[in-house]
Amino acid sequence: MSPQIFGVILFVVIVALTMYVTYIAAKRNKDTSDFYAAGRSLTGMQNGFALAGDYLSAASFLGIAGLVALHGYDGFMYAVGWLMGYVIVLYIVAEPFRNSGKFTLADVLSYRLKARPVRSAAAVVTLAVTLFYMVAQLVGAGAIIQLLVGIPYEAAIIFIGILMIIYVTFGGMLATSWVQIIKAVLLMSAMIIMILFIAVLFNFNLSSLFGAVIDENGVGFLEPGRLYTNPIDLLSLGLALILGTAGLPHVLVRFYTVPDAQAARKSVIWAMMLIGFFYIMITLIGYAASVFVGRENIAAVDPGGNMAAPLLGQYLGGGEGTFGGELFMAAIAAVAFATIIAVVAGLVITGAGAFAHDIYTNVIKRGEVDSKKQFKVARNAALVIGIVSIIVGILAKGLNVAYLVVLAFAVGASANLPVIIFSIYWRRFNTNGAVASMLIGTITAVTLVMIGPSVMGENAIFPLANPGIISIPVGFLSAYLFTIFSKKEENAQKFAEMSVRANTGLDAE
Amino acid sequence: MSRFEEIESSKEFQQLKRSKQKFIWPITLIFIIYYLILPLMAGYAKPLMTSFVFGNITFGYLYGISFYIVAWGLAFLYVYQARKFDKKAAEIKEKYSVGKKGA
Repeated sequence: MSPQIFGVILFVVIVALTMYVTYIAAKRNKDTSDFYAAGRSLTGMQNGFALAGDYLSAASFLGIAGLVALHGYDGFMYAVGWLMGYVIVLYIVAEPFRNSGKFTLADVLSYRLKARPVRSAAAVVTLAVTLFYMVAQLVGAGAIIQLLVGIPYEAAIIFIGILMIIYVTFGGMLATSWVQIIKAVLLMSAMIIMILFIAVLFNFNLSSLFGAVIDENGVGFLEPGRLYTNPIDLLSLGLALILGTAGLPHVLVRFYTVPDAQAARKSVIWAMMLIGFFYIMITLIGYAASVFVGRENIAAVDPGGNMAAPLLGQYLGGGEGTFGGELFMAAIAAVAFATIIAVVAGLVITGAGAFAHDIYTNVIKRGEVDSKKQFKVARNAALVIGIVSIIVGILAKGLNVAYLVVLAFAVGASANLPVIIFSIYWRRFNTNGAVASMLIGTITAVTLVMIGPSVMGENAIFPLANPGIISIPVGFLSAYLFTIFSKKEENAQKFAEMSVRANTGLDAE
Repeated sequence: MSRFEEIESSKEFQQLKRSKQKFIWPITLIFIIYYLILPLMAGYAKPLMTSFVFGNITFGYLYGISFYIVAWGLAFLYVYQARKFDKKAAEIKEKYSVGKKGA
């Protein structure tokens, strides 16, 4: 048996396994509560794995390994930020969010404010964030699969697109969650195996790994500033990461899949353990790749460094051309594929919720739609969002869209987080403040990126690639100012209701 | 007055809310500031960040790892505290003997 065939087999096994869970889930996918929230049937641990599977993208797995392998300490420092946002998720958002919402982010935001304007704005922001994230994922995925497996970009995107549509339209949130759980298990296992190989090579001594890193790349490799030359830009990125996670709709809707706030809490703890270990391991993999594969070799295959982890796998398995080496590399390619499909499926179902539950059911039809029809519209919305994503993904071929992920975090922090926090914790907050913050926060973040170096390069008008340092204060300030300079809203009863629900779980759906 | 308003205006509920807020906000704010020092240290304290603490391990690496440890520590601290809040919330629901949903 040739190692390439092993790769194909592993790939087929992943597709077959995910199709099987979709088939099982489809039988239980009967109404909107199943479709959007997996019938609230997940345990805290299951949802923790699903959260990790939803969150850890191929850009983290392959991209950060590459950043560390090519740029040393700056790659490691970049990786740190991705776990930090979960402290905010846990302390401020997860439990009240679970207790006061139903299917979408807009459910929470519009709970005690004027429902239609707030819900419309929240749905638009959710769709924007989801689209940014999706395009970045698909374009990255197409390029990575082309690199790993050699199939054309367009074919890769269409294939991934069809899979995500099948998972979501047939299996709803239950299938999506299990695809994410399977991916999390595969990804963590692959990394633990790699780390064990590396640990044996260095006699379980971290200091000798870094000794080898210094011998190979010089002491300067462990010094910050090789990639990020502007500390203010880095501060701006850090702000977006730590505050943006708690404003990402596809992360937040996962809390609806568990029965209560206690399970939501448990799921964040599990997710934090998994995500933290992931980022610590991936940076060690990156450092090891810089030693064993070498920076020149990694950059020669892909200047972005995406091949650092697969090439390290090849080395650890015995080297190029050996059975073990090719086998290891094929396995990593299959895991990267599983990583991609789990993330995009989560995005499709989140977009479908914003479109079908928020815009169609509650804004256009004012909630007067029977549940059968709601269920049907939800599935159709998933289909449409999937198809649109495939088309946009193909059109964006070759564009550098990595900055869209950072933009998604910036919009989450600037437009969603202020409104989430104020609607849960601030009695005086009103509709004007919510709508203004969502619109101004989004527009500020998007505009600053459009006139910044990521899009305009040398001619940038705004000097920073990361808009957070401006757009996040702007988002919070507009929420505050538009509230205090507009009339008080008479919603004391609704606020009392939301506050009691958020803090005690009374009547939570 | 709805039962929600009745609970909301009760002393026990206001106390629960206050003790929650006193716990979550200071920790969150200090944690955010602690994290934001990292990019500033990276930019303006390079010699310290590159100094070796033991073997080939730099201060910068240990400092970076400290964020993971602190985040996990805060996660478990939260679970510990939240159990107390759960108890208080259960008492409130019991006292106003409302509904059977939730724990």
